[in-house]
Amino acid sequence: MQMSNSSLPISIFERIVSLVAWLALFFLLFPVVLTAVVSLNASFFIEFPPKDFSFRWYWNIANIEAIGSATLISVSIALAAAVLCTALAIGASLAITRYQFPGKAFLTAFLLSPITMPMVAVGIALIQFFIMIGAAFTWYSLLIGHMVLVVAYPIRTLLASLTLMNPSLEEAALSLGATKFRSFWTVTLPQLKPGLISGFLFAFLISFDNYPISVFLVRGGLTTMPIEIFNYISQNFDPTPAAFSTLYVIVVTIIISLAERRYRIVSYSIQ
Amino acid sequence: MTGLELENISVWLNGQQILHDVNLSIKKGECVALLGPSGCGKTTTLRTIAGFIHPQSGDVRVSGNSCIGLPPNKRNVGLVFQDYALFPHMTVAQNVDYGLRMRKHDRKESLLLVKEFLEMVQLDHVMDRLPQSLSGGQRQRVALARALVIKPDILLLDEPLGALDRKLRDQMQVELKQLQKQLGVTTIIVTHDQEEALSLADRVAVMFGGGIREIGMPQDLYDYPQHRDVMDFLGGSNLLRCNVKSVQSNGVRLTGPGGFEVLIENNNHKVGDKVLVGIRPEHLSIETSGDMSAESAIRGIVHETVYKGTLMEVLIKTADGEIFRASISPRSLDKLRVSSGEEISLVLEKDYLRIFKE
Amino acid sequence: MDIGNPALRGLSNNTSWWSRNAGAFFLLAPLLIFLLIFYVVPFVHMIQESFRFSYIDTQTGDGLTLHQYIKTWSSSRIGRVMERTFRMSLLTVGITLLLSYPIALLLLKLKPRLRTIILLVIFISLASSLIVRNYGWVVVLADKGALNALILALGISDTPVRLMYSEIAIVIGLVHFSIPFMVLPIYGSLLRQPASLGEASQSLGGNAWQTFTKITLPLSLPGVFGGTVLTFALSMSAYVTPLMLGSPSSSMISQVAAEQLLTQLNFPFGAAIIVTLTVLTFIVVAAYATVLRRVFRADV
Repeated sequence: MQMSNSSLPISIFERIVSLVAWLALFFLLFPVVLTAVVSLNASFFIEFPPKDFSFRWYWNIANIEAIGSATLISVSIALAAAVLCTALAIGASLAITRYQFPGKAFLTAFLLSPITMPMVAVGIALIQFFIMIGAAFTWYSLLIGHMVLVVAYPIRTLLASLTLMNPSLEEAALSLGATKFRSFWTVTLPQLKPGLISGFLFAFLISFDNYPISVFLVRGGLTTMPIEIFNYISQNFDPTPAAFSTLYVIVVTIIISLAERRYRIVSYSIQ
Repeated sequence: MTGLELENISVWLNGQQILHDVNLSIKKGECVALLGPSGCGKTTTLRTIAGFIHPQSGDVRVSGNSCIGLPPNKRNVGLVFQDYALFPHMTVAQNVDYGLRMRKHDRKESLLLVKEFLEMVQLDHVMDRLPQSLSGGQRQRVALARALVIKPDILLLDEPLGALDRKLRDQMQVELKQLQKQLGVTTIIVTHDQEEALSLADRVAVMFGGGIREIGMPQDLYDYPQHRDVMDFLGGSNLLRCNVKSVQSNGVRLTGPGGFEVLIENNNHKVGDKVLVGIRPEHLSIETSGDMSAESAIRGIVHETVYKGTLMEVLIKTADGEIFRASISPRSLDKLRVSSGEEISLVLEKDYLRIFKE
Repeated sequence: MDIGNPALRGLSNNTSWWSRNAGAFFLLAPLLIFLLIFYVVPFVHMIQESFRFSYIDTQTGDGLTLHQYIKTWSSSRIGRVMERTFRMSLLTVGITLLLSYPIALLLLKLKPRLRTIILLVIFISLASSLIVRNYGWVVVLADKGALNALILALGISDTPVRLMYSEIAIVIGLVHFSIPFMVLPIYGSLLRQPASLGEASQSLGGNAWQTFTKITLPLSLPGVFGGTVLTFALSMSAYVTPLMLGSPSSSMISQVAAEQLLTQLNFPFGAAIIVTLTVLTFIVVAAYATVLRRVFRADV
């Protein structure tokens, strides 16, 4: 886009903008880096700068109450929600981009509404509903709650993917004799990979991390990782959550970097 | 009085040298075209003059004053972009007014100037429309008006007629030339279309590989090019590999493919020298009968004829398998009644033979 | 990109509306049925519940009543919390915009490799757990945390400054959370502007500031709108961030609604509060869009 040479004069405005931008990025990264440092602190308190270094808080993660079963539930719910929602989203986004029917704009807004809807609203509405039909506090009700929350994300990335896709490719396949289904499976679907992968990833991560909806839908043995971590933070003051946070960020970084390297998901999430 | 001077301009981009020691001197009010294939550096030259690129060495002088180091907004250049770059959120009038506003021009006078220049391009009736509602040709004229209203020292046009269809292009060629002469503004046009360059410019600079290969008036450049690639780019050419057979007092005798033999006046060659002889397709005529071994003729058979509307292109294959092209008017060709495979001879007009080194 | 009327690209000659659109219906059916049962019905039911009396009220009766809403609007506490939530959301939107727009502008200027790295950082920020991110601020803002260590070291104060569990902490957390949601739409709309527009402005004499205010910014309003609306909606409905970084005296509306449900078990009242929040947010967003469209001729 820009062909300008570095020896062209840069105005004050541009300098200020760059400065603010770098400060803002620093602001974005700063807490994460600090948390990582604190997680290695040998002492019991969150203090800075740390005096001694130790990995003990990483080992202590295992001591968080119910962390094992909570993480298992979170992973299973997130996986199931992401898979099911991505599958549902494929059909919906195909319908929206390939067909014309009245009320399409309204439908699209409706399907994307969970993103801006207050999570507490969704939580309250769902727990009332499940109590009413007698299915509250089960793994399935939790799954349904998470599905409602995350289905909008694969829809959004798939809509972007489908709009950017070249429709001539499918037509070429059809003209060469492929059935509509075959053409979709062998030509369209591979093209949608970035949209599918990024939609799946976001659905998974947002479900995995969710607190407000989960907190309304769980009770007793049914609990999620964020809930247990949050409980731990409210009741303890040691740096164990710092160790947990650092691990979490590392894992997320690896997953997203791999997805970007392989599928170039970044460009598909910029509308 | 010089309008623009480029002195030893060298530009490196991304580690590669794009412009090699470019020198150019343009008179005030002159219109020069930078013509060349993609990648020859013509757009880079334009952007260096405009100030978007800073050359690693050399000087750019406008009306005698160096403008190296000046950012684009401090140079008084009028730029018409390839995509016109009209501001979509402003009306036509606001677009044209923009440069005047930046110069804090008196508001009342600006209004009159905007109207005047839009009238000049016959678009004063769309003053309050948005660019999206205009046709391509109209948008280009607005872009022109916008660049001209600020009374620039230099007008820079980037592929001005590329996006227009044939008819519009012919019309705009005339209008553009008239406007340029009327306002007397020093103009540089960047294009890869030789017809655009030859018809619009006072002088054409043909560029290859980051340098100006040759510069001259359109007619001179076309009829008497000094370099073979200039000849080839401008209108195409046939090239014959010839040998100097003998050197005589009245000239040099060359021999070439298909029995080609000609006596030329050039005295700078020795026996045994290899030269390239170039001739344009329209400077070849066909002989079907008579002396097949006439001076300055190639013998061969008709390989193919291609209909091109105003011209027929006839391809001749020599005994050695080389192919040469002649452009003949359809009427002349009808009179000759040549058929595929027939033996003919192509006569090269001696006056238009160009001799190049191998 | 114009892909043409999809219906016209079909190979059938059927003119009946149903046969042309049957495919869409079947593709949408599973999702729509799912959302109908588990999204629309619960919401409608919740709205209905908000018009009933709850066990805690002195009046009883099975009929519909505005009692919960009257309670919501007349409660001074809720009024304060609402005003506070609104104020903090506006503040968050403003600060986030001021920080995010420069990031978007910077991304345009960077070389591709660095640009991808920064974009990845923003994505990872988005994908990192909210609890993780807020905890990071707990670490920074705690009495013994990094910021106070700096303040003490620089001698700005003799004792640690109480930053945690306050409105300031919440706003910081909300801004941190919202930056990716603001940067991406703005960056997207900046990408769609051809570079030649900015260059045209410069060639006509506009400096960097003028080019930005007269050309770049007005044309980026759709992206700015998208980012600000999203940030506003997310801030208004924030729950986890004020829970972790705030205190009862700085609570936000979602917390009050949740409290009614979780501790008081007062469904109707909680429902009324949250419905009020949703409707108010929607009204503000609609008004905002109208203003942008009418006054600025923006394409939102």
